[in-house]
Amino acid sequence: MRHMILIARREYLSYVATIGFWVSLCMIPIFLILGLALPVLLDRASPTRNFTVIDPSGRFISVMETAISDDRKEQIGAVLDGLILIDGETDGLKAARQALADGRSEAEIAALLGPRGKTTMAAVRSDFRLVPAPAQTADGLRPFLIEDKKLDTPRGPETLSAAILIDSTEDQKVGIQYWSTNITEQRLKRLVRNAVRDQMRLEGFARAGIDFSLVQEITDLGPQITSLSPEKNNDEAEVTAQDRMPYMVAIMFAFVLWSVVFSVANMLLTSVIEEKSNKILDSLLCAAPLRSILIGKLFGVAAVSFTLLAGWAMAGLLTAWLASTVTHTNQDNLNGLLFAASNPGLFLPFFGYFVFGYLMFGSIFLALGSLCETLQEAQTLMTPMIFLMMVPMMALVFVMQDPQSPILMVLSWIPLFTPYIMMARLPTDPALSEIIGTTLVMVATTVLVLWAAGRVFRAGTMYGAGSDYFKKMLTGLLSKK
Amino acid sequence: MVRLMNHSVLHLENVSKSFGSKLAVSNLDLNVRAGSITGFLGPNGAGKSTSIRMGLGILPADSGKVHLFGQKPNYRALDRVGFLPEERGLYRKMKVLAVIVYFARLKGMKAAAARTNAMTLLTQFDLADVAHKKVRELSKGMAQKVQIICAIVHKPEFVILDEPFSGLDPVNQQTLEGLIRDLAKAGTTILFSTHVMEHAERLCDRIVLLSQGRKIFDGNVSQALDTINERVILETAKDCDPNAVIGQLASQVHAIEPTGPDSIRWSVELATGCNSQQVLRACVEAKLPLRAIEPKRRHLHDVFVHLVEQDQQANNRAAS
Repeated sequence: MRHMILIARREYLSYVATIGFWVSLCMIPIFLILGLALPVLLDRASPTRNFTVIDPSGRFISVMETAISDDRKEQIGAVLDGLILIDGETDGLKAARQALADGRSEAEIAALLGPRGKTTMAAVRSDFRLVPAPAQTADGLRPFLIEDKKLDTPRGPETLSAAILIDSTEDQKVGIQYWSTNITEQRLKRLVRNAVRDQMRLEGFARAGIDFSLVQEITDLGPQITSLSPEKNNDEAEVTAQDRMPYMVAIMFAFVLWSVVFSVANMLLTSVIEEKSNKILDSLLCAAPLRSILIGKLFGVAAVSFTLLAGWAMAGLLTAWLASTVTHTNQDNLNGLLFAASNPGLFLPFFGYFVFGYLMFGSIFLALGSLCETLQEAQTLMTPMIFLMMVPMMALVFVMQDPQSPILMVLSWIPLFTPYIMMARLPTDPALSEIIGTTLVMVATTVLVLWAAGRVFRAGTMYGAGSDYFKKMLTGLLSKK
Repeated sequence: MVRLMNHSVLHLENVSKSFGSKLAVSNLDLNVRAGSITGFLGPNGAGKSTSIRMGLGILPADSGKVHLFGQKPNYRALDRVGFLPEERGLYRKMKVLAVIVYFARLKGMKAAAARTNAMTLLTQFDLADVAHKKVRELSKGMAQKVQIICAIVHKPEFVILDEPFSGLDPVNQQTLEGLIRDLAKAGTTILFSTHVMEHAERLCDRIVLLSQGRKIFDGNVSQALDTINERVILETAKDCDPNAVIGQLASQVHAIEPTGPDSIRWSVELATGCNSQQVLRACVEAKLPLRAIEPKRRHLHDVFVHLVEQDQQANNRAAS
């Protein structure tokens, strides 16, 4: 016991008593915030692009203006939908959605959103702006498009990103020339094409004597879907953000579980390789039983992972609190997240699955490390293990789409994957027999893996390093002593 | 502490070990008595380290019995042992004092006592000023001294040092010799392996010589020296061949051979029981124009080379 505690303590301190460990832990909230904010920041970093339309017939200018205005409305709608997903359908958000549908002004919509209205509307940016043409021909526009000349706008000199030249000399045949140096831009091209196409159809229907508004009305027909839960009373059956929280938390737990096990299993591998390459093992073997070395290492690194988990949890809470404060989202969501995360139905399995997942992968990595003397040698053996570890990671993506997929049910029975996949599937209420069965198989496999890893570790430490890994592995597994 | 002297501290009884098809140790009997300094000698690959690892229970023997302090090697017994392995190293990121205290605590010492002992030994080895430096900042020699301290910090009753002098400069080799003597004076049993015969000759009261996994000698230094014949160097006048007087010396010498191309210095290997005085008398009686006669001191090095060569030749003969 004394040996085990001392070895575990040394292992723990060798990671935790370093500045690097704490610096990386403290960086997590920064990375989380950056991860959340980066797409928005990148989007906002690119300016609104000016484009102009040369349409001698004058048939499509107003259509273009409407298309731009609709595009902005669509973006406002997307932001409102995002807020509904986070906060649920609050009265303010419902009213704002309705106001948008009614074509009311942005100021009116912002007012309906309360204190966060201004920041929300500011977050919606216009990608394109239709500006008056500085010249009427392609040759005249060219210096503006290649930025030799700037547009004179009320906001100051600006660049012209694209010019649309519409040739509609024939009634039913329209050609569009799209001039721009940004050849990868597809959104504006699509927007223009759709706007012109709709106008052409409108005119076509008119020529055929069909009322286009009727066509539009029929096209817009569609059902309204409401998600309801049979587990709730009829009057409160609608699925809310709070209802979705356990599923989100379970998947988050599964990802965290995978990340922690993967990180700390690597720590075990490098730790034992360090001891082998620095020739420490003989001194250690003369001072402590092999079993104590193995278990001490597993415990020490497990303690590191609990420190990591605690750090990540605090970092996650801090990030969630900061995000909800900055975006003025409903504090109930943070409470809901905490409530779901502290639910024993998720929390206890998380620790159970962590213990078994860690013991399985940790002892395998420890045994592999004992067979190698350098990290380069270890890479040869690690590659299949990494592929194996990627399977549950990929499976988690499917859990989000269909937690009861037959493939996932099969994968749940593979003990190395059980902790991650079952963790993510738990809120979907899998059959009790499935939970008990997969757990029993997982526990039995863990015992087997620990026994085998102990044998291989013994062979690896006794007989030194070399490339005959499999021989050593077999020696360890088949040895009677 | 009162220790019983002459009882067996480590006893390897008819122990063998193979690695695949290679027989590393063959039917080895080794008995290290309490309070002794035993030199464990042998060429590279003779099986010294394997035998030591079996003695400590690090490596299981294929056959035979191992007793450490009268019992099968276990961690209670190993707490009484200090071991400096041949392949040595330390945790490079740990501080010197911390790493010594760590190993002392693994051997059952309390932290405070371990710290005190460690500082005393660091001072003795002129390393007190690096106590709070990281191991990776030390030179190779310094790190080796730290490793030696790790082996003895818990005041073991039995110290096993596998090639302790390799990597140390002459000054530190002398310090280590002094330390081994001090430990022995304090009653510590010492078993060390070395390639440097001078250390073994100066320190050991018993030597065990291993060759190709087998014990080829076990006894004290003087017994070892007796395994080879004494030699004298004769210096004669030029153009004088002592072989001419070989008749008179025949019963006293095994061989006479020139030591250089000028044929004025001759190495004479004496027969058992014969000494340099008898050779001198025979030379005078034979009227050999003798300029000088110089008895050549026998060294453990010669014993080592002689016995190992003899063993290898015997093996080659057996193989052919």
